[in-house]
Amino acid sequence: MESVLLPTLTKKEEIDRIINNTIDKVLVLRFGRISDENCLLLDDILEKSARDVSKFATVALVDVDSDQVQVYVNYFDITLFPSTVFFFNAHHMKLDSGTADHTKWVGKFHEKQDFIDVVEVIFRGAMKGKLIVHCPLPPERIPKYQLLYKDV
Amino acid sequence: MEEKNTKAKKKPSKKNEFDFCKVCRFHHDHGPRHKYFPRHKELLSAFLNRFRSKIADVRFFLKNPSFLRPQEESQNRVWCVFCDEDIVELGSSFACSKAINHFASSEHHKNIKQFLWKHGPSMDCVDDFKISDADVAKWVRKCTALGNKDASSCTGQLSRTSSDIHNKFEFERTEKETHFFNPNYLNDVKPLLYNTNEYQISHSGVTHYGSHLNVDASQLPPGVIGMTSNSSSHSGDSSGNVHSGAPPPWLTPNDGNIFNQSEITRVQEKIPVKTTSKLNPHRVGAAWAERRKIEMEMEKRGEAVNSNTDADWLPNFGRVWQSGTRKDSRKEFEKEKRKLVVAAESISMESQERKLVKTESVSMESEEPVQIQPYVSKRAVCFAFTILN
Repeated sequence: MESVLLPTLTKKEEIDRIINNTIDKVLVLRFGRISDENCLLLDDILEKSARDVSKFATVALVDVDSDQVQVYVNYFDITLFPSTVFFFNAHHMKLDSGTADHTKWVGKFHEKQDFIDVVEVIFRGAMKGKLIVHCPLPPERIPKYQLLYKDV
Repeated sequence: MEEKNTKAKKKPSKKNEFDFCKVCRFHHDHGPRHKYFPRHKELLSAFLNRFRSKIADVRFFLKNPSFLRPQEESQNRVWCVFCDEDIVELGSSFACSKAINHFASSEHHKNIKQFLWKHGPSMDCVDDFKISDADVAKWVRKCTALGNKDASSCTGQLSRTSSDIHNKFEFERTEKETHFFNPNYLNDVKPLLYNTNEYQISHSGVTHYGSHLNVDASQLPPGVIGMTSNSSSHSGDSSGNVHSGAPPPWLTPNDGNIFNQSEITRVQEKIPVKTTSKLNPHRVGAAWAERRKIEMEMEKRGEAVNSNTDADWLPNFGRVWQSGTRKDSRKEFEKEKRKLVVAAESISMESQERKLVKTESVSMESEEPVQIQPYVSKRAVCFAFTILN
């Protein structure tokens, strides 16, 4: 089994660079920390499927504990970890998975194929000019969570 | 009873096996009724017309037998669509002799009938694709007569071929073949009397294969299609050619040449490189992607690019708790950020002042007891000063 080491970003410049240099491909940014169990499971799936989606997607990990990355953590309203944000040509792609937050994917994927399906749907929607796409996964495979507005 | 009769009448539809139709060039499971389909009929008529034209060529040589040169043997070949075999005239002395014998053979007749039974709706066009024995007999007689006549001249021709094959033999061959050009055969399809390339090479004055090949158009026999030769202008150039090993004209250094290498590079630099992609122009961020590709190419070439990525740059993002466009959400975030920064600065200022006060108090305590004085702002001091003045 080949393991692809995904790039881990710790600075805002690095995130800006990868967003600006990823052209005509989906950019998958995972926000999380290595110490989290769910994050590790998600990272495992991302590493295994990175090669399969390499023709139409780029995957990168963002360390949330870094100070320079906090501006993005606040900008993207990331409160739960791990969270995965999708971009296409520096434009944010939304995913309607039936949850409260369409701007990101919160939690881990059940299996590799789920992640590939989600990225494929995002790519197809982006190529057609859609900024929001419907999640192809069944509800039982989508992680459930509660969004709190300012801890309320 | 009626139900039984209807049931008996209704035969279960047989599923035919897949078969390849040579005429339509596809697999089908229509069975024998495929040959009655209108599309198949159209394709069949085109198919048979194509083969008819080939047979017409062979019939020409049937009526007018001619010698077949050894170098033309490989080119004189016919594919028989009924028998699925290639008829090559190897070792035959007369043109299309093997083809004539094949089309007259009984096996070919059998294959024609089989083909038409399988593909064609009617069998009345069998005679179009076969040659009768009587015609073959006539052809054989003509061949023997021709063979006897040219028995003496054949040897002369063969000796000439070795010495001057490009010039003199071509003339004699064309002269002979013009005799066969009978106006009665105007309606039939004429086979090529000579290969196009060879004719052009030997009868045009432009190409140089030695000095003996410059031929004027006036020397061409009348039956041949007239071709103008351009021997005057190019024969005078003494700069050499491919055979003498001279460099091609576009590589020779020329002062008067407009397209210098430096100018070409300058022109290329000025022209912006437009990457023509086959991707959907309406995809998300298409305009941004095209601009970015051009910028990246310019960066590769080493040119300075006005980079828009400041330290405060943020991508287009639709936030969770904001409504409105993504630009509005970004502006809102930037406002919040500025407020946070200001608040943070004020907090830091206060904390610094507190630290200063603490440090001063600590230092004073160690040296002297601290004298507590009321706070007097600078404005009050200035105001008092102005009043006094």
